[in-house]
Amino acid sequence: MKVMRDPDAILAAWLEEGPRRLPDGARRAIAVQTRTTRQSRRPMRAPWRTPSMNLFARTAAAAIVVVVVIGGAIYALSPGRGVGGPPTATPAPTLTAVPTQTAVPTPANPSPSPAILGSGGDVFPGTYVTRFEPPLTLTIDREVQHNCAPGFRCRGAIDTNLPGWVAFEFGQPPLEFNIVRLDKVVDLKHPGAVIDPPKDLAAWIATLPGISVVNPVKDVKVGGLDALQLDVQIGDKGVTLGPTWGFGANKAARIIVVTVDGHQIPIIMFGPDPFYASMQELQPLIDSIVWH
Amino acid sequence: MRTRLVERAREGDDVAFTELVDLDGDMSFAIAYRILRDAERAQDAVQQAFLLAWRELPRLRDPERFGPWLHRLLVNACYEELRRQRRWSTRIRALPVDGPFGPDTTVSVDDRDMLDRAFERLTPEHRAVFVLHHHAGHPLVEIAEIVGIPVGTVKSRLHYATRTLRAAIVADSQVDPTEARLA
Repeated sequence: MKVMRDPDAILAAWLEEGPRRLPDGARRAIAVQTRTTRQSRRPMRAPWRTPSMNLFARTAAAAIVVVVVIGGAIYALSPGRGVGGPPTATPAPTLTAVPTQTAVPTPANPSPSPAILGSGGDVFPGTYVTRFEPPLTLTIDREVQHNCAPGFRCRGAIDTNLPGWVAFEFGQPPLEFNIVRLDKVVDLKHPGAVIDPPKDLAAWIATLPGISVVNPVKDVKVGGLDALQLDVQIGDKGVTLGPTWGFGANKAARIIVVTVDGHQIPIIMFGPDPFYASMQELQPLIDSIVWH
Repeated sequence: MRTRLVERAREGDDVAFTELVDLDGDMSFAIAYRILRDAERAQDAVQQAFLLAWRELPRLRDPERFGPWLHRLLVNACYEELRRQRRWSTRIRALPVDGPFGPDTTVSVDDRDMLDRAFERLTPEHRAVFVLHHHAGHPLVEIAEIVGIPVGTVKSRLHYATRTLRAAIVADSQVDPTEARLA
């Protein structure tokens, strides 16, 4: 025996499934964009566009405009115009190279309105609002030129753009740039358990088994906030920091821990040898960070 | 109240605009999610739409029309997201932040699968009309204004989309109760 089901009821129920609430991270990102983006100007309204003007008057006005424009053009192009001087020779066009304007913003001339960083895919130079919480903007610029092939439109890749993790890669072998929010870290005393991050996260990372400190902790600034920076070398086994984040084996990394709104935010960078040159390439990206 | 907020935001008041985001953000996200079937991309589309709304608000002459105007920007942002989706495949997928609403027991796993696939085959324009009408509850005339097409075209797109989605489940709409008991 067969029973009939109502397709429209199924369709309606299916359509109702799914999230309904705009996540707080998106709300905050919109608020940041609103604060940092200028509105366009109110358009000027020409008086002749008012509805009180009838069709005849509009046609007549348009005709006058056409006559004036044509007359002006004829006058401007007439060879004998001027005050008694002979006609000047028109210079022949040459193939002189003209520098083209570039739309790529530089740190000295950043884009006035940040763009929204996508969830993935390519990223080009510009200032971006990410989904990261606490909210921040950053400017991608010369990093895209890392190992960029000649003739190629240099770009980076967005690995992830989430409230707890933003990551980019540039070139191949890549410069890797991560901003991470570690809400929990592994409990070294109880394997498998997680705990709140220690008060001095940078010092705690330095003591993790499998990590060798290459350059000890020093004070730096990120987006005007105090931060601690250290360079480390990861051993043969990877090192787990938290439930969702860890280091791969045999990597050199620069870690900068900045405290924003009570959160300790590690910025973690990797790069090919020579390591310090790679970190130098990523420094402008660090310097461009603005917390909102 | 909304009209007053739009007027204030039009004069550059970002606090008023944030209140508008609070009022309209959820519905915009729900619409974008249902057109795109992807929470991450829906967030992107909503952010794009609100950013453009903020920029262009001084050009909106009638504050009463803010809702349909915003939905027009939103639908266009969804179209753009779908175009990007075809160009790129993201490496990481995040789960919806507040999880799916449901699932409704009216919809079986098979139904959901078939509807998802049928919906994926619809063009962005058909999806938008279907969601704006059946989920957001916009009348056809308003959808015509939002999408920028004649009412007749809205009707025909809606008819086509509904027929396609019905067809996806109608083949499976007769269920043997024995099978249902065993399932």
